Amino acid sequence: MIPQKRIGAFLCTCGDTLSSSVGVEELKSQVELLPGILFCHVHDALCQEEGRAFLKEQVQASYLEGILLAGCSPRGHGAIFERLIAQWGLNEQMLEVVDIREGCAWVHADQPDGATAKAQGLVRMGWAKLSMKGPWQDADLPLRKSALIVGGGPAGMAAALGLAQQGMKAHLVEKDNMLGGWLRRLSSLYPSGVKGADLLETMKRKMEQSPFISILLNHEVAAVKGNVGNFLVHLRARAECKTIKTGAVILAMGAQPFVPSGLFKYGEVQGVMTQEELESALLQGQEFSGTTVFIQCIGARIPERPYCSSICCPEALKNAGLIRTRWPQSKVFLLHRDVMAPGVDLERLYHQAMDSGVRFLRYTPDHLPSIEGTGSVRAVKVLDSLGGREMVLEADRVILSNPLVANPANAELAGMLSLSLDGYGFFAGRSLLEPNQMAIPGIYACGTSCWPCSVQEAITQGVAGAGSVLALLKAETAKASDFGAMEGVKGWPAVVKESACSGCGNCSQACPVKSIGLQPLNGRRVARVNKVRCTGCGTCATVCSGGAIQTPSLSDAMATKMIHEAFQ
Amino acid sequence: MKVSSDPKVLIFACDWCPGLGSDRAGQERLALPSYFRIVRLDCAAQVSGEWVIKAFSEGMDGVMVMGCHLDACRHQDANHRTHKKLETLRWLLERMGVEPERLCLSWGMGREALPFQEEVRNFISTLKSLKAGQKA
Repeated sequence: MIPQKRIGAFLCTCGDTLSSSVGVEELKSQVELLPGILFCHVHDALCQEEGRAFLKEQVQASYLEGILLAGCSPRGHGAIFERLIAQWGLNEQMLEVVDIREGCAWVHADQPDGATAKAQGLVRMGWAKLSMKGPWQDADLPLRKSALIVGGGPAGMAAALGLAQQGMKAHLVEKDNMLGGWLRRLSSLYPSGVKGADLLETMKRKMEQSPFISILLNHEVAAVKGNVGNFLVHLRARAECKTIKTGAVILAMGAQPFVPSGLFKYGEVQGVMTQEELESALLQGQEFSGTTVFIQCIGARIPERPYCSSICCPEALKNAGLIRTRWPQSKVFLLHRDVMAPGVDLERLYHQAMDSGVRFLRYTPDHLPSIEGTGSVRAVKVLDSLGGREMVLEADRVILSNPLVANPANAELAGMLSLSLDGYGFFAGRSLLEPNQMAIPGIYACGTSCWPCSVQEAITQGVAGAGSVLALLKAETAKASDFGAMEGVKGWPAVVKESACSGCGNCSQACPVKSIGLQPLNGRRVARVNKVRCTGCGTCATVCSGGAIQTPSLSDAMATKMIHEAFQ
Repeated sequence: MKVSSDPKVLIFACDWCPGLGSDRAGQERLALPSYFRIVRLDCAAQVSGEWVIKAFSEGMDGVMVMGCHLDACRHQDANHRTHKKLETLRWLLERMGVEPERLCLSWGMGREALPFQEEVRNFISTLKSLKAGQKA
């Protein structure tokens, strides 16, 4: 049995908003009877300055080891009180906030008897939990001053340059034998019109000049171990394998175009090409006189792929306008469902294409355009949904605007890092405020690994990723609890009682974030928790047959006692 | 102990979605019957089968486990795993003579005040109708 602690109870009436339904005096007299409770004070606003001073005075005068605080929901002021009691020399864990306001007085305002009985039950549950809690030791976490970037496309290169600019070491890993990714294959970039190759040269030159960037071509990530501040990344290459120690990881593997095989006679007749093939053809200086028909939304915005890829309209607008301008005798038709051109620059691109003489025709998904001709393209038949008539456009070639789909490398990396992907295989940010931060601390994603975007947006995201890493690694050391599962709320990692651990590995298998490993100890194996990776979900405790692994915020013993006290 | 005809309900609720729903229900002063108690958790995954069995053996009429949406767990797929685990437990409970309806799993419904109120009310009325038929 855990020795009794010196616990003080405080009932906060929240400016008397509780007293109308909860019998505070009755509650106080009940709480005073609980074993280990030294006193129970009633206050009307502990969250205010005067209340906090009162709390501090009581804590210090009675040498309290634990504080039972019944009042508003822990979501309200829990974190603030935790910080305060830490300042007064108590362990943050030794505070238990019981919600008798939102979860009791306010939802049972019409039933004072029930509300009072419930408040008693809830306070007893809080007391049961607090009396079994032990102090928790935070772990210091050294932060290695470097980042590893997976993918040498525009986003990855921008991230490396951003880091290097601030003197942070960047390891740029690329599986190809040269840098650039899609930049190498794009004739010109919208909306600027800059040549892809020119931008690539500029970025490469800047990287070569920087002493902080090391480029690893022909390397792929084989495994990632460790945690924020100290990852071990194993790289695989044809010649040699390598391990790099790094503080953070940025994922920028990019996306790949959807191949429209079997659609619109792609691969069957000559003259049907995708937007990427058009880019290559333009790059090689192929001639585009005659009639060109662009068809938008090939395999996008359909039930199995409902998203808009966002890059195909601007790219088609750019290329359609370019063909009309470069070959004034040519005819260009653009068949679309809706033209997506948000923002100042893209709207201007749309107008430029219209002014250059590109003809826009709208079709609906119920009547898809069809391609006529055997051997090579002869014409495109389309029902113009605005004009309401069917048109046959004599055509020399058809350009299919296909969406970007997720890179298979996303799933591979997500598996290694135990990250989850969205329904289409892209990485999703952890929250609104941390859009490039993944669920595992220290891992960031940017560019088209997250969502289809333009080169310009990929660069923006790469720079933002570098910024996030710099902010993360700025401090010399951090505390393990800084990386808990909840923003602003500490995560309490699982604790292993080594004498009770049989080393069966159930917990290690069950952990959703792969934070538990088995390590040798005196000739046997015991579970060891990585305190930084662990998010404190408690899955491990539920699969441990010996009760050897527990989440300190709510152990089996605490829960059992709480269940017992709930309706006493 | 007071003898009452009201069902006794224990709710294990993740502090994220359902915890927020509970707080919002209070802030909006939505009315709820007072015979349920909430154990707040860091994640619904903390609930072990033993806790649920313990709750029934302590005389609870119903146990509810509330977590976030199945694809929106803050701990990767921890609530998917919990769902599987507790569905297996439900099967086991049935063989122990506990009606399967007495264990309610609710994923993501507790995010807002009104759905939270509705979930709790529905569960309590299910328990009342069970009780009217026969005493567990």
